[in-house]
Amino acid sequence: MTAATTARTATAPRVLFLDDEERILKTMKALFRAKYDVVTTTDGNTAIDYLQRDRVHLVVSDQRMPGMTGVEFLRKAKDVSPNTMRILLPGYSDLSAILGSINDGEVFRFINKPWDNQEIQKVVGEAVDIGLKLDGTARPAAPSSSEQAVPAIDGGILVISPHRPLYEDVRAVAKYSCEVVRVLSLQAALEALKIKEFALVVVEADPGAEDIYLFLGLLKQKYPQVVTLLVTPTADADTAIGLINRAQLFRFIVPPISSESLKSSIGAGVRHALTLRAAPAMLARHVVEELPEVQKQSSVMGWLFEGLRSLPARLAAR
Amino acid sequence: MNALKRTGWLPIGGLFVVLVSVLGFLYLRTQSYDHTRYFENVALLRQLKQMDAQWELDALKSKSGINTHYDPLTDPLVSLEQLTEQAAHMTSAFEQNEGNAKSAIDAFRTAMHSKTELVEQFKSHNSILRNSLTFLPTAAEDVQRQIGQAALSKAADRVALQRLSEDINRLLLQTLVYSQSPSADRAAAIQADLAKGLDGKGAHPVDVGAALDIFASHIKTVLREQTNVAKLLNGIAAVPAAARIDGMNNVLNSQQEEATEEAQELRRYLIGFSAVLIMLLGYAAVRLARSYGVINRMNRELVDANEGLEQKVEERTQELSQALQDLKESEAQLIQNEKMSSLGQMVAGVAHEINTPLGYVKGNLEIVANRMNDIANLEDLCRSAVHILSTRGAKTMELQARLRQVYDMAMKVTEANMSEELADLVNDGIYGVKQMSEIVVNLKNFSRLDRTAEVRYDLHEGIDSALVIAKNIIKHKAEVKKVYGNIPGVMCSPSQFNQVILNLVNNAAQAIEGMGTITITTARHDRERVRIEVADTGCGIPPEILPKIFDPFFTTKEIGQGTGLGLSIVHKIIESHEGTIKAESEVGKGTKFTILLPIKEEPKPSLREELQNLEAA
Repeated sequence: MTAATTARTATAPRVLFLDDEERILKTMKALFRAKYDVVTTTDGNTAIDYLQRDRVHLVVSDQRMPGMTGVEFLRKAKDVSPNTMRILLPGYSDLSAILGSINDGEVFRFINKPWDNQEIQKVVGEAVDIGLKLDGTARPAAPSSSEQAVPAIDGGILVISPHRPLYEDVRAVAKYSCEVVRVLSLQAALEALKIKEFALVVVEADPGAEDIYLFLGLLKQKYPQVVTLLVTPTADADTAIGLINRAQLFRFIVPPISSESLKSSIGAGVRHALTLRAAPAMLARHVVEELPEVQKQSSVMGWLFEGLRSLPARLAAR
Repeated sequence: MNALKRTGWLPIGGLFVVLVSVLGFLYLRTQSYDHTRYFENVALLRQLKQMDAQWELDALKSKSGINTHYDPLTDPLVSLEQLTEQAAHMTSAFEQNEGNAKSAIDAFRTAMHSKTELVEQFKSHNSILRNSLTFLPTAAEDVQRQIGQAALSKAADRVALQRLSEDINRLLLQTLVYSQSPSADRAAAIQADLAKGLDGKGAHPVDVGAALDIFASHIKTVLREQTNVAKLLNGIAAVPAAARIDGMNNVLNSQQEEATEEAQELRRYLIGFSAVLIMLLGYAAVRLARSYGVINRMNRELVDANEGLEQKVEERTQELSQALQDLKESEAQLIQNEKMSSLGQMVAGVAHEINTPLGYVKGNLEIVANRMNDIANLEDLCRSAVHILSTRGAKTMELQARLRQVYDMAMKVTEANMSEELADLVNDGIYGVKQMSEIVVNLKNFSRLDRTAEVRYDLHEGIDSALVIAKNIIKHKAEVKKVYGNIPGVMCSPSQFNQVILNLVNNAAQAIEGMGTITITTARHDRERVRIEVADTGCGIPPEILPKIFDPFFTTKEIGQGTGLGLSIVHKIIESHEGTIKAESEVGKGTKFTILLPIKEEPKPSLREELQNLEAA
């Protein structure tokens, strides 16, 4: 099946499914056709063509496919239709694909196969709602990769890192366009966040730094407009999936980092933050999942919850 | 450094040769003057002198008549001649002042010659003198006897005769005295007497006169010869033989002195030179001692180093064996890693393969469960409608409402094409489950954990299961063409064969950029063997690395991407099955691996097994 097939009237929100296994597409159609205008295809290029032609609120893609991988498709989809929400539905969580979908595809959620119908319906529902909100908002200028300089932004950049080199690197990259503040620990970061709002937060984490993952999630819940970047030497697929689903991490950077790639990441982050401020509707894109109850009740992380809860609610003020 | 030292020895050697030559030269010079010769010569001269003196004495003796014969005079002559010749040869002894020596010797020889001549003359004159002197008395007696006879016979002048006889006696006496102690006076007296005696001769008888003449001639001879002899003796004495000898002696002496002086000078040189030599020797000795010290030290160091070396060799050996051990361990580790990584790959692939059908099976079942609610509702409604219908006195309104509900529900189901959809979903679900079980069966087939030993195995079955396992990797890269020939079962280890195929298919898929084709061909190669070919349309292998692809750890992948053991394991497995594997490749066109496997005879079943088979039949 190469041609995209529609199954409902154009009035319903439109969701496009891309998978090389037709039976998956059949299931999806059976599952969602009642609520949405479901478009399905087994071919990435057909899907891109469709995105260019028609308005689509959400794309859901498999990862391993002949011709075009899911990450590739999501990256292209982001370029041709930035307001379309993107979900990856991989058969197997392979790390490079996940990092690629975060950093290149700026994906909204991961859903692993086999999925739970209720869960996928919920996530798709959320994504479609946001897609509907975004629909009609001015299409933000696609950040071109040739744009090298980091633009200026109010609030500046907060670097949370026990190691100095990262701070030096970020400062070197941001030049004089942004203020760069460095704190050594999360506690210090909370103090800093009490005083002012940062546009970009760059966190360096040692392997298995659960508190940092939690912090990133809570921070995004509190301030969806803050763009977060994580630098960590060890990435595992589950952590990465958790960070995208619960913290809407903007970039997942695995050292060694070249100053070029850091510059492009920081630059993209700042531009993204500018876009979010310009179009608050975009913030909906960054809604994160609620944390699991277990983690919420964790007494070890209690101070983090309290600290973040006590932070001033800035979004409301806008 | 060695070359420098070697060339440094050259001038030293030269210097040594020069020094030794100088030393030898000086030594020879000090030895060149023969002192014994000098003493011999001196003795010779002394002998000469003595002989000369003796000779003169002998001449004198002869003259005085002490020596009646001339042997003493002539004997030394021979010796003297010899000695003179010897002395003449002395010239060879003179080196520096040959001229002086020669003149001295010549002078000596002349002197000796003249002396010899004089001696010869003396001898002849002296013999005449002696003769006359000897005969003089006899002549006198003759005269006396004639006188006596004349006096007897003739009575002539006896007085004259008497006087004559007296004169004769006197003359004889005077002459004899003269011969003993000659003097001019005596000679004159004799002459006078003789003349007086002879005056009267005519008067005397003839016989007396004759005898007188003889007598007179003898006296005259004596007188004459006496003078000659005296003269010759004087001459002999005057010959400066002794002086010449002394002269020679002087020359010799001065020669000796000169030689001695020269010798002393040479000795001084020699001493000086020796001193220099000794200093040089001392210097050389010091150098040698120092060199010896250095050699000793180096030797000690060498010994130490040698001992250290042994220890080092031992340490190094230990290190090496440790390294070997580590290498073996890391090789084992690498092989294990390769297994784990292919296992990981396989698990990832299989997980994906299973998760996909699992996804839609689960989804479909949930949808079906959901739809079942609608159908259950419809059923309930129908039942309640039937219940109303069957109930006596049912209100029409109630029935109508219920029937509408039933209708609506039925419409909903129909509109949604629900029954058809449900059937579809269920069929898909069944298909998915079948797929999953197929995967599980293939996994089991693939690993063949229950069959490790060699069995007769249908290779097609193995290839199929490997393809299922690899499906996830291949399906987006290549279309698989199977060209199966008619081949018998092959005795092999199924799990190992499957691994080989999986590996080759994986490699083929990785070599393909975009979409390609993997062709797997099987055929009977000959009576004993079957052929399995795995060909791809990938990027190919450059000829320079083609021979290395079966080497362990050879990989073109980036570090961490592959261990490079895959094909080496394939090679090992095929080898252990007594088969062969070769690769042909063309860059840009693709690669073909060709495996030849022996079919092998099945081990003959034992009799009991045959019987059991028969029974079973």
